[in-house]
Amino acid sequence: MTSPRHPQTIFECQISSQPGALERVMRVVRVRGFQVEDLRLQRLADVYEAQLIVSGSRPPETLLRQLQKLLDVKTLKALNQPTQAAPPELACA
Amino acid sequence: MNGAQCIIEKLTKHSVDTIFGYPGGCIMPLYDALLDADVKHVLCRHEQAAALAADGYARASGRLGVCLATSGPGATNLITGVANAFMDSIPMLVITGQVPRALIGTDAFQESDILGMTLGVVKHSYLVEDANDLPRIMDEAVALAMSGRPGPVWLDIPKDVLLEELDSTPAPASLATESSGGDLTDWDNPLGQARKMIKAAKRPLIYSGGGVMLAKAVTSYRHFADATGIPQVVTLKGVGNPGKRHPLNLGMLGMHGSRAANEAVEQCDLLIVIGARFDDRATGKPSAFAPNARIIHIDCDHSEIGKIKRADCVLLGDMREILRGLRQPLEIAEWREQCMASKSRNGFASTSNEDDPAPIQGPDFIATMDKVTPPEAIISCDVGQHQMWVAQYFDFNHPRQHLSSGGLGTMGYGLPAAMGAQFAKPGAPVINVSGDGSFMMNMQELATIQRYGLPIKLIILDNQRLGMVRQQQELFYAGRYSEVDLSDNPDFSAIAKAFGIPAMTISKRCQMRRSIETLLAYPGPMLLHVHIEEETNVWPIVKPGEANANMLENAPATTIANQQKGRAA
Ligand SMILES: Cc1ncc(C[n+]2csc(CCOP(=O)(O)OP(=O)(O)O)c2C)c(N)n1
Ligand SMILES: [Mg+2]
Repeated sequence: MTSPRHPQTIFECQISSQPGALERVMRVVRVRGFQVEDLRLQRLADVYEAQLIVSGSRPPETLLRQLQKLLDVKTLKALNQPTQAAPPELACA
Repeated sequence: MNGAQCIIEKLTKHSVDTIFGYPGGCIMPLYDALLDADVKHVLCRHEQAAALAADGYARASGRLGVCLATSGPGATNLITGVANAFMDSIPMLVITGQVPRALIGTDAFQESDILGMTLGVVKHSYLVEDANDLPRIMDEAVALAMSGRPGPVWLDIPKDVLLEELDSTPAPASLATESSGGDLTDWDNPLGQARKMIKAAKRPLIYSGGGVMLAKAVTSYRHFADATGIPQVVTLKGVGNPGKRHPLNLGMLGMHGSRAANEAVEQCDLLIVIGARFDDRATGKPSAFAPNARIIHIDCDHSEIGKIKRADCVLLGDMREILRGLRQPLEIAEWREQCMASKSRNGFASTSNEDDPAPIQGPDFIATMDKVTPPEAIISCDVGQHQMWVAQYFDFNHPRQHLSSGGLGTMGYGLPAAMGAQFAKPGAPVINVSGDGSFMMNMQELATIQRYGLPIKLIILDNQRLGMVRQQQELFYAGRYSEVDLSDNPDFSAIAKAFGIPAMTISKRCQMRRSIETLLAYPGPMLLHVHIEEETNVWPIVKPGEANANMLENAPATTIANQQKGRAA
């Protein structure tokens, strides 16, 4: 469950409709430590138009950059300004 | 032309001349097409080894590594090798067969959802649904694997697509490449800012990693380091960046870094991070890493910026140009001397007496190897204590000569990586340094070495233990040893001989030099089984999660317990 303390970021993106594209986006969100709060999407020709709201304690800027690296993410912007918080103290194994 | 023939044509077009693989049902159309191709296929004896060999090939040469396998178990066996390449950003093209399109999703024989299973270990992947897409996808995949921050790209191709005839006029290619850098314009002239920061620093330090060789920037890196005279520390993958016997190379930093390197990071007032990513093995506790320094971060991957540590100045883009723009003479003589003095006190130096009949210690063996081995040699290694000793005590001339599994830490990497390197550089001496545990993870590849007559030299540092795990159990689990004993190891020499590879065994220091010389002089493959002291540890060591300043040094067990207690207090 999401704790309400974590700030939310709203992304608007176009995702390719190639096999695996949506899974790729969801995987990056999960692995980089964010939770999906809301996801709406609609297929238009060969892309999905999507609005994605995520929350998490890590800086959303890093998630934005990770998502931008995906070839299947055609366009991506954060609607609210992702804060440029200092990187968190990560636990080491 | 069918799909399989199209793949071969594209491989040839992209100058791929060697590929590593293993056949099976769904990839058979491609193996059939290979019979008429100029591409050399190397039959490995396990798909994991095929992927790791492709990695070694790419790492040693800077070219694309290619591996292929069938669907199901062939594909799943590749995954460790592909994950290894992904973690170390090695350019690789992975091709697997898949069950025919109509059978996908029916739990058909040897069907596995390889696309889904591998999403986390690829830069990108494709399920090819139409043979007519293959020309575009092949071009795109090769370009993606090689461009920007390199990585593996996986093509999963149903058998019937491999057999399908392409329409005569294939669709025009649209090339997706990763642009090799971000937009420099959104930062306020960062190059000028970085120059000023470097000029103003009293105690600047370079922390460089595998990104330097990946950006093909080793020469620019050395020009920059030498023009400025800034002392350097390197990551495991950055070993070799400074060049052999560089006086200002303080060695590897981090968990098993030298005291000289970790202390320099502690003391520096400016840290210039070049192609490195603040990996936890390098930084220890990030908040305590470089506590007195401002940071300049140079990379081509914008997602690495600010991931672990905030940078005061970011330079994204072509590393060669950036480094060219940063060259300038500096007046930091005092700091340089301080670093060099620290290196002579606290760098890695072996005190081995080679005439001694005493048992061999791992570090001594590697230090002797360093003296005897020609400078163009390529050294691969496995994972464990021996891997750290190679990074600590062998002084590398170039990062492409040091093949070590960094990000994934894959036991079993060394032997197949050495094979790949030998195919990429047929004239170079290639030596694999293994541990007794790691060697057994891919020793079936002795058959491949023998079949292709690869003159690889195989060294096993045998401590009859999973040494690295044993060391951590000794230091951090109160000496409660759990499943680390390998004292019933097989006779490694006999194993080599069973594959037709000659072997020697040694156990005394005075045998080290002669045996290495014999090994190097032998024209074919040869194995050297080295019994080493069983409980030698890798020093220094930083406890996982601790600050690098809290290095533990070689000392009797009680002192170490006290060192640790002191810190807990
Ligand atoms: C595939 C794999 N399994 C397990 C590990 C965990 N591990 C890291 S080092 C090590 C021991 C390696 O033993 P050996 O090859 O004999 O090297 P040594 O440390 O003794 O030099 C193990 C089990 C790993 N890195 N890779
Ligand atoms: Mg061992």
